[in-house]
Amino acid sequence: MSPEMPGTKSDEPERPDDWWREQLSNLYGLFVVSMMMFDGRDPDDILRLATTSLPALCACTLDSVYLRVEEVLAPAHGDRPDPVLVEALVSLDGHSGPIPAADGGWRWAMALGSPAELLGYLVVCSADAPSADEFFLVKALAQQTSGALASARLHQREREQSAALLALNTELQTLNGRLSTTVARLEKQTEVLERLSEATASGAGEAGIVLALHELTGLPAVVEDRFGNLLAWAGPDRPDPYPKAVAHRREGLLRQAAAVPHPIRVQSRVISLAKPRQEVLGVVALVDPRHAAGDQEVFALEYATTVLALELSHQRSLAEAELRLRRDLVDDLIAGTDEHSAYARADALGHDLRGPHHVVVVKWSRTQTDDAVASAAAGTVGALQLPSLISRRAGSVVLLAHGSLDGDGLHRALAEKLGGTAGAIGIGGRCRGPTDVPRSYSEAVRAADVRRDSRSPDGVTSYDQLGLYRILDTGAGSGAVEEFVQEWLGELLAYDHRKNTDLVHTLSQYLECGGNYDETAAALLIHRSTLRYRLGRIRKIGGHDLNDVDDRLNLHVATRAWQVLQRPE
Amino acid sequence: MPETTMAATLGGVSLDAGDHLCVFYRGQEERDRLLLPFLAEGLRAGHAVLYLGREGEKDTIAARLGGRGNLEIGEPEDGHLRDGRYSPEDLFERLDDWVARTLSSGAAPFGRTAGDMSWASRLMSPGLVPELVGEEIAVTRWLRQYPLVVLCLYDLDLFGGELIIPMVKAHPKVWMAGTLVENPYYLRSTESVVRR
Repeated sequence: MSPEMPGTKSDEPERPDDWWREQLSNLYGLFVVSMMMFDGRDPDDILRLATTSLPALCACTLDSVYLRVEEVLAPAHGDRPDPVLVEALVSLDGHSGPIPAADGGWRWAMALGSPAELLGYLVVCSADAPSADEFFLVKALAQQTSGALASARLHQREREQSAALLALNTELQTLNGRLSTTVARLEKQTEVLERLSEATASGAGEAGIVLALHELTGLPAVVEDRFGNLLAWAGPDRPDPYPKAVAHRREGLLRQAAAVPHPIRVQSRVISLAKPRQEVLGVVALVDPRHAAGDQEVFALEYATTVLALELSHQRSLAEAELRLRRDLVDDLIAGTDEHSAYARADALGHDLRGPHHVVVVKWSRTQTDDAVASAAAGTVGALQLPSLISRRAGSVVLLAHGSLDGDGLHRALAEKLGGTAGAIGIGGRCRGPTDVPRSYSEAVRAADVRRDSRSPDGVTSYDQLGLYRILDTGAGSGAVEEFVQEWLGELLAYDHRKNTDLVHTLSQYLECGGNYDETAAALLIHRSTLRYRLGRIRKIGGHDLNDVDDRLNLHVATRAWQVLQRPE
Repeated sequence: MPETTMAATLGGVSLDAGDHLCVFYRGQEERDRLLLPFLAEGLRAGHAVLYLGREGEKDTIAARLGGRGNLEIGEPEDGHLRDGRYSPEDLFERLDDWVARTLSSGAAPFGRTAGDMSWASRLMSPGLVPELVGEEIAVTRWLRQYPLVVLCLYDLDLFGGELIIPMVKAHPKVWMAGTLVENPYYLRSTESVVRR
């Protein structure tokens, strides 16, 4: 604590009432100033109040103010330090005390704070030493100033801590906001994953996937095949009939969508390609004319596309596997296999091999690929509800059809699907069991070949309809047939060969047309007189009478046999 | 005259006729929060209200008070200053004239006067403080004759301890920081207030 001021008298004189009134009034003034110092002012303002109040309380004036900043005493308000004064202040060691004045007057340093936590010094001076009453007021002012500075410093620390806390709180709130957003997004995405996974697991296929997508986004959802045909729709406002873009536009759209790894907006739709292994299996779209789809909706679309790609890929793999198994079974049955194994394999494929079957061989125009014919045949038997197993050989498609068979209906349906009638169908004899299949197959092939080489090659021929052709075999044991042909057509064949003419074919057409001149000429695309000339040459070279019934029959059989024999295998 | 019309409050604290308050405030916003309700209350009660404000406040304060009632507003040149120089005599002439027209004539049962002393900060000098103190002491004596309360408003952002302490010593009541501090030992002569 500050020492007592030297010279203070202990025996105070008698004070008049006015003196007491003034002293009390001074204390009131000091009290009010003290209140002001503590009303949240900054240290500079507190010091300003203290120094300006000093002359109102006593005859002293302010000499200087020093504050301790980082363990060093420095003048307040940026004044130049007085080294002598600083040294004297340091020597006080945190206490109040006298400071020598250069002019010999009175100078006193009032410590602000305590020796333990010194805030600075208020240095006051006057020509003469103040009275004890005045010194008391100065000391009280210094104490109030000291308290106010300490309080201000605490407030400053509190404000800094509050600001730091506020900054932390703001940062925390920002982080919480981000976290909440992330959690909400993850929850939404989890909902999308769960809902679409459920749809897939339920086996509802593309219909289940678009329904889930619609429910998750609130937007109509669509699945189309790669050609733009509608596979599934969920949601309101489904157009009827469903519009389909022309092929080149559709291809352009698919190229545009395939060029980027995310969904794209095309007019009122956001579309995404189901494209496993670079092959487009389908297109998923959200119908969004109001452009309401945001990140979450696009996420749902992307995941639905992934799920759909897996679904379509799986479906295709199953279909391909089943097709391959069916083809293998047909091929094995044609080659000959045991009944037990054949029944078991057919059962596994869902085909009832028991009961009557026919082998059907389809040989279509070479303008159609085998794939196209096979695909059309599969679709046709499905549409005709004809249970069948399908395989494919070079240049032909083979069906093993169950039950009675409408050959003409099958031909019409196939012709409609393939866009033309240029094709022959041969139907083999009835199979009572798997072991009959090889025979029925060879019969079907023979019937198809005969049909294709006939005057009307487009149509259906069953083996049962072949008649004479059934005995005109080109295989082993055909020597008698060749001899018969040579006997009746030898001269003409030699002539044709030598002269490079076509008299045997002319004769064949004449007999097929029942001897009708006009029909024959039209079929051969020659004039009637040319036909008459050729027939004259035939009679002369062959030496046969075309009007004789027996000759005519033998010649007809010979020409048909010749057709069978001349056909390359 | 009903008792209620003779009452006045400041910041929720009741004042009595003859009260002369030294009101310390920080900044004009705090002053307005205290002053405007005080003036408006007087106008509502039918009191004669005289406000000697800062420069340029004549119209703005009138507008904020709605411009109704027995209100007079002056600026420093209308009261304390004559041609920019401090003139206590002019002030008391103005006060006497106002009292004659309002309280003494019976036009109003009660009076309220408030003066913003901010103008003094521009003229501050060691010689001005005793003159201001003398004026405040004179006002305390003068207003005892009338049913009147007077507020002297000092902005703490403009004045320091050299004026605050003398004003505390010269006023019976001091308002600051929302508190009314009574000073039963206020001094009644300039010499005892201001050290020379």
